Amino acid sequence: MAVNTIDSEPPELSAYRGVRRIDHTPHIFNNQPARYYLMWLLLPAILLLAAISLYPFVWLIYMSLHEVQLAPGKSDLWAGIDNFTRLFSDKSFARGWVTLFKYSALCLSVEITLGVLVAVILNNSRLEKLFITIFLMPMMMAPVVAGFLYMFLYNGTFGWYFWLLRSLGVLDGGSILGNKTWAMAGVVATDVWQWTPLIALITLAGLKRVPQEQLEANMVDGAGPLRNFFSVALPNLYPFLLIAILLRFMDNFRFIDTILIMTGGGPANATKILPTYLFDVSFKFFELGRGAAIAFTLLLLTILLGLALTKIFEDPTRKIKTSGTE
Amino acid sequence: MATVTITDVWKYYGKTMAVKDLNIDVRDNEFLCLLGPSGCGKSSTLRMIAGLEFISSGDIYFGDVRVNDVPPKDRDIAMVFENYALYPHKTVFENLANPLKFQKMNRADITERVEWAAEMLQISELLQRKPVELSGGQKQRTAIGRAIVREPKVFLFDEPIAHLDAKLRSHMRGELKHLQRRLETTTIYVTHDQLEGMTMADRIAVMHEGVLQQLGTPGDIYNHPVNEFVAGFVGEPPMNFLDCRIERVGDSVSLVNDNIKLVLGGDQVRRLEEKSAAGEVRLGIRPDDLSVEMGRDHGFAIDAKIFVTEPLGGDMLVDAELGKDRVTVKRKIAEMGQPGEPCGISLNIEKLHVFDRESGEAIF
Ligand SMILES: Nc1ncnc2c1ncn2[C@@H]1O[C@H](COP(=O)(O)OP(=O)(O)OP(=O)(O)O)[C@@H](O)[C@H]1O
Ligand SMILES: [Mg+2]
Repeated sequence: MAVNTIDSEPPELSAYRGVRRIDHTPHIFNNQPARYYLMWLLLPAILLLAAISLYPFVWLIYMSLHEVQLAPGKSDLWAGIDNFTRLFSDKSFARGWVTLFKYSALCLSVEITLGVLVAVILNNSRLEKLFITIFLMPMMMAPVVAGFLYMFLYNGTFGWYFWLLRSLGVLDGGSILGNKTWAMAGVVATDVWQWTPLIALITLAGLKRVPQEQLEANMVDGAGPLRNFFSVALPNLYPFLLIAILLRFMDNFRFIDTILIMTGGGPANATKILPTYLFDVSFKFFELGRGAAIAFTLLLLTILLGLALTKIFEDPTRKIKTSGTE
Repeated sequence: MATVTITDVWKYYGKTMAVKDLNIDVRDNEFLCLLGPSGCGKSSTLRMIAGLEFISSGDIYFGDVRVNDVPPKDRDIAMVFENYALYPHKTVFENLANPLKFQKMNRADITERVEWAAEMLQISELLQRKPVELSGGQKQRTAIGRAIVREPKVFLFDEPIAHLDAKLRSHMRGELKHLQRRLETTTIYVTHDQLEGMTMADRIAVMHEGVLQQLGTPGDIYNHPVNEFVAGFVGEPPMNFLDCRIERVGDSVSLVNDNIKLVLGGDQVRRLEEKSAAGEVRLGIRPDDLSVEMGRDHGFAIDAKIFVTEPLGGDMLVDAELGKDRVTVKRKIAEMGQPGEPCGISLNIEKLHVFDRESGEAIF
């Protein structure tokens, strides 16, 4: 930690002459005291977690390396890495990824922008508590219900949104979910409607923690409200935004309820994000081995992206260059 | 030219009254110190000058311009906050450069200014560090650096060196005063430490419970305090106070209580008469204006007993008991008396202060 940086001593000390100094460093530097007992405390939880999540994970790997047989009595056939190599030539697989990234990026950027905006507007307003309670309601809804709700709102015969867009002249002919571009916008809008409040809530909590005196110092330094937000408030919000983004991007990578209800991946695969494709492969075509392989790549990328995000958003104040051994 | 004029300023927070009817005129290039105990409204006053706090009533002028409604960024001030208020995600360099960036200064000039300030504050080696990696004193100097890189109309300091250790504090007192003289910038400096006020300021404004008590040079405040509060707040160790009554016998007027009898000089008698003071008063005398001699045969007018002696190296403090009163005396170091031993005390009558017992107002 900072206490042990030895690159340069404080200048006020170097002013003295003839003081006693110690110039060597100990062999054992910055060693943490042993904390093995913690492992025993954690063991029950680790075992439980292993049982409920490690076991299926092992099964996932097993399945991805086999051609899983569904008929009773037939044993699975060893497939090696065939399931994986076949993915390379699978056009739907590649398209699933592209659609997934498009979907997730759209959802995230709109949700973060809107969420932060809502939080800033609500922050310290008199009706803050009331509004946040109202805003949170969509979040309490099961994704399936949200899917149905929006499907009805978009409905070409009696849908309210459909009527609105039609009256405004934005939508010419056809239905919303039946149109390739509009369908993507439709499912993104549903996600935005349901999850922006969460981002707003997290950001609001973050805004409360932005130190007032830093904002004041920046104002005295010459910042207007907008500059003040971007140069002081936003960096202080990074850790909170990281949590929000992590939560949402991982949800985007696994929730398929809404899309399944609204479009089922259509029209013409316009909303077929990878998880919906995975659903089709495993539970429509019943190719469980191949499904497992797809699931495995999805898991791998989720973990990698999660790590990358954590790295990017790492709280800059915590980044301490240590000159001692680490 | 930068004068700051505060006229009839009041500040309420809900029902709390933080500042009451404040009138101060800060002159151009002056070092003015707002001095007072915790909670007396010093920070509130400073924050109103900075534009960070709404003025409940009254006006503040910079020069001839009324600034009540001018946002902080347009006031051309630099402020050092009580708790540093550094930007944790920026390096020391970026912290110092921040106000210059808002002035749209070019890179080379920024670097030059920042390095100049860092040099002056001895933080040149720390420029690439983040605030978490700094000690309290280094943070404080970074905060000061962020203020001095600019050439603002007014410097506002809110207890900028309160959290430093005594040695560094005394060093920084000199540095800040030197800096202010060199930069020739109007400065308003908030502190609760009377020593900082006395050593650095051109003039001191002493505040108590939101009310300005006295505004004057350090010499004025020290030698002619307007009331008992100012007299007791300024000076270390603090002034001794004793309850007395005025006694007239023929032409001679004296201050008397169970242990002492002090015959007043002609000037002092005249002052008493001007204020038509009579009966009970409070006598004030600084520890420097008392003398003490150990032992029974002291030859001084007042008999006392030693309560405790505190050596300070070259000087010593003697706490002596006069009946049920206690006074502190400062003198050159000598033999330490033991508690309970007899001693004698004399006063420099010239340096006596007398206060109204009821109102605490100074009579002289
Ligand atoms: N934001 C606020 N809301 C309510 N009351 C406040 C607020 N800020 C200050 N006060 C009150 O106003 C009074 C003056 O506060 P101020 O901060 O000006 O004191 P101060 O002289 O700076 O004290 P210190 O030396 O402790 O910093 C105090 O009684 C304080 O409790
Ligand atoms: Mg204060």
